Amino acid sequence: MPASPRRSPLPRRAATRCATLLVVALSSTGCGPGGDDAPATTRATAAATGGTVVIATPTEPDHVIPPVVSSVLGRQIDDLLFERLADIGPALNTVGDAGFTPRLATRWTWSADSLSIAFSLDPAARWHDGRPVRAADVAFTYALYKDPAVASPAAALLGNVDSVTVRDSLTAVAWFARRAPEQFYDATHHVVILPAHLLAAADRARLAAAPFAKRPVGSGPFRFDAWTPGERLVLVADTTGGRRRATLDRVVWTFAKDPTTAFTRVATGEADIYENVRPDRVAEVARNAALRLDVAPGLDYHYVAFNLHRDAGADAHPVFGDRAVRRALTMALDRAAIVRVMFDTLARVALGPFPRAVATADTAIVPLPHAPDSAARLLDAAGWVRGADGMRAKGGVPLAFSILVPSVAASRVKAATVMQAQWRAVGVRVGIEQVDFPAFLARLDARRFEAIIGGWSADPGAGAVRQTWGRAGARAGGENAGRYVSAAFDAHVDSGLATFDRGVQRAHFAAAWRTIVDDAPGIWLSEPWRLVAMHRRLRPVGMRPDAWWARLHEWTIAPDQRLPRDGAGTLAAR
Amino acid sequence: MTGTARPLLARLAQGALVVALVASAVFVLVRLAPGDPFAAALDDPALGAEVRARWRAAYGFDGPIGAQYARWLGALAQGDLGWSTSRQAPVTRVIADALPWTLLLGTTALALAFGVGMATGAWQARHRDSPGDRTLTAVGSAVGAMPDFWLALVLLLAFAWWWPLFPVGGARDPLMGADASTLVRAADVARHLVLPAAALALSLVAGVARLQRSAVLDQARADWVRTARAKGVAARHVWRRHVWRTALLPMVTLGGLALPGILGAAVFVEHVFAWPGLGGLAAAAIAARDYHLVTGCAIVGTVLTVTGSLLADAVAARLDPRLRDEHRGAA
Repeated sequence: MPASPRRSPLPRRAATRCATLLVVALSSTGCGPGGDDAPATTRATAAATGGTVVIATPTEPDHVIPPVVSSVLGRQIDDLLFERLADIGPALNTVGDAGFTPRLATRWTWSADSLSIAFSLDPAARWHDGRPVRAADVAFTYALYKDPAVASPAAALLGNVDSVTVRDSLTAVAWFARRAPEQFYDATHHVVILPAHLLAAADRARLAAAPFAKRPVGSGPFRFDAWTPGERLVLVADTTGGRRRATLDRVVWTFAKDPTTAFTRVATGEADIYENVRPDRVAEVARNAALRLDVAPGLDYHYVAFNLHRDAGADAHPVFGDRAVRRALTMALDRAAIVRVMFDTLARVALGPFPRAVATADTAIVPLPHAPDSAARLLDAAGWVRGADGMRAKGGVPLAFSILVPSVAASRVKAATVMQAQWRAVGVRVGIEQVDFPAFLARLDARRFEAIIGGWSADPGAGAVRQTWGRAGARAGGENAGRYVSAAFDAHVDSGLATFDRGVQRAHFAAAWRTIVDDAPGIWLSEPWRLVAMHRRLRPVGMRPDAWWARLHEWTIAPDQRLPRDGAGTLAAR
Repeated sequence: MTGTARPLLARLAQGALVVALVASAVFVLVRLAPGDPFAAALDDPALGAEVRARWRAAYGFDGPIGAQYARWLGALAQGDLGWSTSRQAPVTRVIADALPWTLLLGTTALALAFGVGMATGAWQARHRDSPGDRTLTAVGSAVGAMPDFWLALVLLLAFAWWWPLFPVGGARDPLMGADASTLVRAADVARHLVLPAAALALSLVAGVARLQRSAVLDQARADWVRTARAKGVAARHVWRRHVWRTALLPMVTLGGLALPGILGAAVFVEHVFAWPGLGGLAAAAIAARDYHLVTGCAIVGTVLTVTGSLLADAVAARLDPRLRDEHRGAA
């Protein structure tokens, strides 16, 4: 089964009118994409352990129990508390096991027919309560994730993992239903290993309500210390396991629902990190001598999706049911101008339904051009002719539709306003409907919309697109809300997912992207940079496009750059 | 039954009815709003429909609304307000954690607003039409006209960022160790309390001052004040015993009415200052479609409002013999 993408969790924020913010940010902070830029001397100095990283965030997880955690912040915390068998590499390769690094498993062995993989666990691995991590824990974990009673969102991604058995106390064997290019990724990326002795008796139907969900015990580099809802969550470096110790002493998340308050905590030095920096705050970060801005490719992209049918019905939509009209609507828009309004210079125009950072991206694809005259001719040819007021109609039916946007997403509201004006110029009347985020999602689920501006945070897995733009996602409750179905697109994606040759895979996906871009079931708008504001004293390591925190346990703070708050309230090393 | 007990019981019954009506209305309205707890509270709406359906069933949101209401009433009768899906904890515990912070913030803000407002209003009345009176009236009108959230943001930026005298938000230092003394902890909370309490108080103080000023001026023109002056009672004594004391009565009523206002303003102020109280909790619960928590917050808010109103009536009746007589007459 393919990986499931996440709709972007945080509202897309307002764009600023200041020009060249990206240039300002890069030049004034002296940083660029990536974070491994610490000089060797500093690295040597910072080798000592210690320090506290305080992350200010406007969100708070409801719980942190991995099988049912769904918030990005919950996953962030889980990634530091628990361990996968193996970690995906910085290139985000998902075919075979290339680039994957050992984590809880020190090595793995493929069977001759590739239908099973034996994972050898680190014999030194310990749960934070002191008990050893054993293969039985691994088998228990996979059974838990796949149990229908748990209703784990990851269960659908584990369809190819038939079962996990125990060969001996330190060897767990994953058995697969079929040989597939992404079977290693599927088996390792979506699952963190859990302690069987603490969860065996939990009510599986209400796992999030288990006491473990609020006081988790993992085997990762950090252990749980405290959680005061609405205020803070604290993890401390674990030193009981006898394995690698996190270089930092502590990671603290401070919660403030208001993004301004959360950002101000970083700006005033009360906190060290604020992620998803809004474009209008970039200049503030650049002016602040204590802060730097990490700018890197991310996995988010924004798009317009057309509902190709009348609401939830099977009838074709009178406007969007026509491929030529969809292409005309796409060509009528100046997407570069729209992206500038949304994010100034802090985003690129999206190329298609994929971010550039994923392995299957085709950066050579040529999108439909901005050509209002050609768009007008296409509409004329389709029978939508201008009336006395300049607006188009066909057989008395006006060329008009509404576009649905979440009111909290200021950048999307701005984009809708610009699009409305650009479409009006070619004779298309567009209304804008703003609703709150839960209502927006409810309308999507019920297919009660004509067009939407959405945002996806893509998954590294190549199969995710089946759910977002393929036939599989067009079913009721699926993520392909516009219900675009193309046999050619699906066939190219399926072929790309079936091959073990990465070159062939890229070729199939390039054909798939070409098909969908030409069919124009949506308009791909922006691909924002991932912006993380952080204190200059932090020396980050290995910030992946999908998880900047992936190697937070290896980040350092040089002893001479530590603040009094680094040691405040810390207890002796445990 | 005594003459005073019967009207009190009647008011209590009225209060209970108000709470029941508000709770029932909120119970229905929050469920009629688009979205559900597992689409809104979670930021992974790509959860499959089957997963969400299972979660809805596991938490009791799958049946008809009438059946949910009956089940909720049954639990309520046993003191159970349900399960918070956004906090994954019993609603009673979530509210019990948040309520003391709101009471601390609210009582501090009320004390500040009434202390400063009454003193200012009385001073303005004594110096009626002076430049100071006119200036304070203008400043009060300007501050009173500012929206709560805007005022809170201005205070945050001014005194936490540009001039960092106070912490940016929260109720406690997140890095304070478990070994900190009670005194240190209290001082820390006090430091964090200053800005949110000031923001809440400022939104009220202008109204208090204006009412106090006009009440004092009204009383200063009363017959008994003229009589006292004619009898040669000392001016300070007349002022304190005959003017200001009787002008306190409207303040008691205002105090009762201010409680719902404080709770309403707390929603914005707690949000801006990350104060872990009931107001911010209710706002987050609405955004997350946390049905039981929204209803629980509404119940607690209504109980506080009704209680405030009852207390204000009781205190006013205690202070004003005419109101006591009215109650007796009604009995």
